[in-house]
This record gives sequence, structure tokens and C-alpha cells, in this order.
Amino acid sequence: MADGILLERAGTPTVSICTDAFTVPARAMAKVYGHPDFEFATTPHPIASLSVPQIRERAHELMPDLVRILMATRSDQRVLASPPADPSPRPVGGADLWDAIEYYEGRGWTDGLPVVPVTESYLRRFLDVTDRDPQDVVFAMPHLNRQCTVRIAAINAALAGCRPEYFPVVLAAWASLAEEGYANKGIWQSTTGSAPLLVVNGPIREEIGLNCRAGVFGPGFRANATIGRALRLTAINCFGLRPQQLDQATQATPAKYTACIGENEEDSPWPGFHTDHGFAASDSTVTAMSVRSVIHIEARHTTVPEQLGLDLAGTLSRTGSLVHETISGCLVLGPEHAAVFAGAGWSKSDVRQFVYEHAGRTRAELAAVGKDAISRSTRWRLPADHPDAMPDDRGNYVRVLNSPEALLVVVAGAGNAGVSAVVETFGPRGGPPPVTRIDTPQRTATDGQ
Amino acid sequence: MIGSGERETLLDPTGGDDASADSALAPRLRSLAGLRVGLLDNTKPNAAVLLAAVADELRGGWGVESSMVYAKGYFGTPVEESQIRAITQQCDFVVAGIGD
Repeated sequence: MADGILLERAGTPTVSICTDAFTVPARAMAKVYGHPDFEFATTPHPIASLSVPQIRERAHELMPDLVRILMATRSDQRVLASPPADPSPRPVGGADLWDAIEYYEGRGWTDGLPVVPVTESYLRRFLDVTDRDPQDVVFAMPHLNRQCTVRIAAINAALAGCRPEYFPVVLAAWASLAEEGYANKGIWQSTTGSAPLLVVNGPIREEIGLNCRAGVFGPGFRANATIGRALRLTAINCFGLRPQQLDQATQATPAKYTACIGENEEDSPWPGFHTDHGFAASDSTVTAMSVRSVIHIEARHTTVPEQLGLDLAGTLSRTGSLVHETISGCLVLGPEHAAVFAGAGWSKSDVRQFVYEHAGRTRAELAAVGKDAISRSTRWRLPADHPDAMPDDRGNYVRVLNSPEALLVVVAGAGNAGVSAVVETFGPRGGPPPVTRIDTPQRTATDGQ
Repeated sequence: MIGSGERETLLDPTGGDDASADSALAPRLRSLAGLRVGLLDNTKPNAAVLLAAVADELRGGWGVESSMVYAKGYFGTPVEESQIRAITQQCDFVVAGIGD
């Protein structure tokens, strides 16, 4: 397998043959060399003990696969092949805009929507808003042997339609994702179909027009739409995480297109999320999280905090998403709901504590859905009679959160109705969230004075 | 930039034009007719026999012009740089075997 990949990288089309007993190690080797989908031909094991006539027959049987691998355009050729169907990068002038958009689509460098064509002079505007070296690595996926540099992140941010002044947020988002720890270990490839969600705090929101009010999860605001999109295009283009290929999401989620919100600090009864984690209100930060779902809560006439708390807890404790022993979450409270809690004297910690205590399922409820035990090796939930099963030792009432700290609380959206969201996340599981400072050149200059 | 009247190249967002990250694979072939095939033998039992049989099929059924055998020094390590260079110069495509 290594031989095939090395020869291919040197420019020589190569097809490798192995026996079907070798398939698993062959795939692993291909993965180590950065091409987990590298195709090879297999023949039934064993070969070593066959006679010459039998081997001739095997060679004959292999021919269709050998020829197909050497000649047919594979679905992953758009990711891996060079040169492409349209070999030379296209120079563009004013009238070529639509050709340029189609060029990017033809190369497979999009999320399905048209992208903004990027040239060197346009890219320079993005590189000028950061002091970082263009070759600095912003994010790596070692298991894919791929890295994203400042330059690549900038090209994809421009492609996504970001303005240059959004780029510091994109860079901080990558740093936050690196600290978050799930994204760089393969969760973006998982069948679970998660997406990154970014929460932005501080003055940058107003500076770039990042929405934190009505329609915060929806379209209509360039900063929200394009900052999240920059992450997705980078995942596709730089890391090769194409759907149905390296990205194996069973169904995925609309959040994969883009998911970037600002906290509505102004209408929140509490201090900003970033100030809970060591930052000043005047700092601008971004916090990344890997999310499964964003679930809608509507409680229009609730004035009693415990009742609202139970609505939230009941949503978090739904069994449908309870694949692991416990879950993590982020409550995105609309300002009206935040006011219900704060008006009764509750802090964010009080909200977390209440929801943590009440987000649980009885042993019988878990058994009814085959999730009352856990796997010995992975601690994923299983039916108690599964061969890998062991008890979860959590008693008859199982809390789905490990601790109140596994639940984050932010405020976003309009104060025009009792609507909130529960976001199901991959963490933190008690450790601090990856709140990351956004560095802009003028800030750096200020620090130096 | 677009619209300025000045023509510029569109940028590749994959990092593919970054030599240090370049690990692109070879293009696919349109036809095997008239080509030279290299047979990379990893010296496992019967690998040579299988590759020879494949070469016969390629010459007989797909118009491949000629074949040349390259035996690896040791099956357990990847093909060496010098051998890669020789193969790349002397062959149009390769059949490698056998992973066993």
C-alpha cells in the first residue's frame, strides 16, 4: 500500500494487489500515508500455495478491478487527483466571474453553494489583518496527515465570503477548536454528523455586525453566515472531509453549513459568558463546541423558574441522543427566559445546578430504549444483555450530565418571545470551555503602547 | 482582483499548491494501449508469478506495449526513492503486489 501511494505521489498511476486477508492492514497503511480511501485490488487468500495455472486464473479475475482502478474517474479523484479535468488555474478578469465560480465548483471546492473566487491580491487583504506568518499552522489533523496554515484558512475564509475583518475571528475559532479537542481527533468524520458551533463575545460583535439578536441561528447576517462557513469549506477543501467520503455522517445536520452566533450580552441579565472564564467584558472571544443538535424550546407563559428549568432538563435528558454514558450541553436562553431565571434571583450557576439535578432518566426508562448499561471498552450506552455490557453504577435515577459544569449557559436571540435552544455538545465534561481571545492588529498595537 | 481589469490566477483552497503539504495522487489513464507497465514485486511467495500473469493479460487484452519487473530489496519497507525514480522514468503505470 505504501508502495502504491509513494509511486502515485511521484506521478505514476499504480494499482496495488493484496489478498483479502490483508485488507484491514492495507487500509490502515493507506490511512497512515494520508490516503485512507486509496483503492486497491484484492484476491482471495491465500496466494502463496496456489499452482501456476491457478495463479493465471486469479490474474484473469483481477483484470477488471486492476483496469478500473487505473482508468476510471473515482469519486475521490476530485479530492486527490492531479492534474484536474481543467488543468490550469484560470486567470480571471471582470467578465470571467461566473466562469470562476464554476471553476471552483468543478474542482469540488465548495459546500454545494457558490463560493467567492479568490486571487492573490484579494487574499492579501486577509493576510494583512493578522500578524501571524502565513505558513503558521492553525489546525492539524494528524490522523489524516493534513494541516491548515494561516494562508489556507484565509483562502477558505475568502472563499466563504468573509470580509477581511472577520478573519481574526476565524483564526481564533481554529485555536478554540484545537483546544476543544474533539475536532482534531476525527469527530468531524463520524457517522454522528456533528458540526462546530461558534459563540462570540465582546466588542467584535458590533465591529463586524455579528448578529446576536433576533434570528441568531438563521440567515441574513454576513458575519454569522460566512465565519461558520469558513470552517466548513476548510474542512472540505484542506482536510478532504467530503460527505460520503472521509466525512461519513449518516444524515449530518444543517449546522454543518454554518453555525456562528453572538451572545446577546446587552439583553442578558447576567455578565457575558467570556467574563465567567477569566476575560474582561472588553475582550473579544470565540468559543467553539462540537454539536449534535440545536433543539427548540418554547415556553411562552412560564413565569416560574422551576417549570422552565424542567422544560430544559427534560430536553437534555431525552434518550434519543444519549449514546454515551453522559452528555454535555449548552443552553442558549432567549432574553425572556433568562429574565425568568434572573428575576427570581437565579444566577447562571443556579440554572446549571437545577438543570443538572433534574436532567435524568429512571433505570426503567433507559432499559426501555436499550441504553441502561455501558460498554466495557467505550462506555457507550448499550442494552444490559449486550455481550460488552457492564452496569453504569449510577443508581435508579441516572443524571445525564456528569456535573453542572458540563452545561454552559449563554444568552442569545430576541426578547420578543419565550423561545430558547438546548444545544447538545461533545463537551466540556467538567473542564473549562475553550474560550479564545480574538487578536486584531489594532489590539496588538494597543497592547504594545 | 476580479473587476479590476488585471488578470490573476484563482487560488487553490486545498493547500495543494503548498509543496510541503502536497500529497496528490497521479492522474487516471485514458487507455493502456501502447504503454509500458512496471511490475513491482515485493518478493512474497508467488508474487512474481502473479505479476507475470497480469503482464500477459495486459499485453494480450489491453494492448500494453512492454513490461519490466522491479524486485524490492525487502518486502517489509516501502519502495526506495532510487527505485521510485527508475520506475517513474521507465514506466507509464505500475502493478504492485502482493500484500499478503
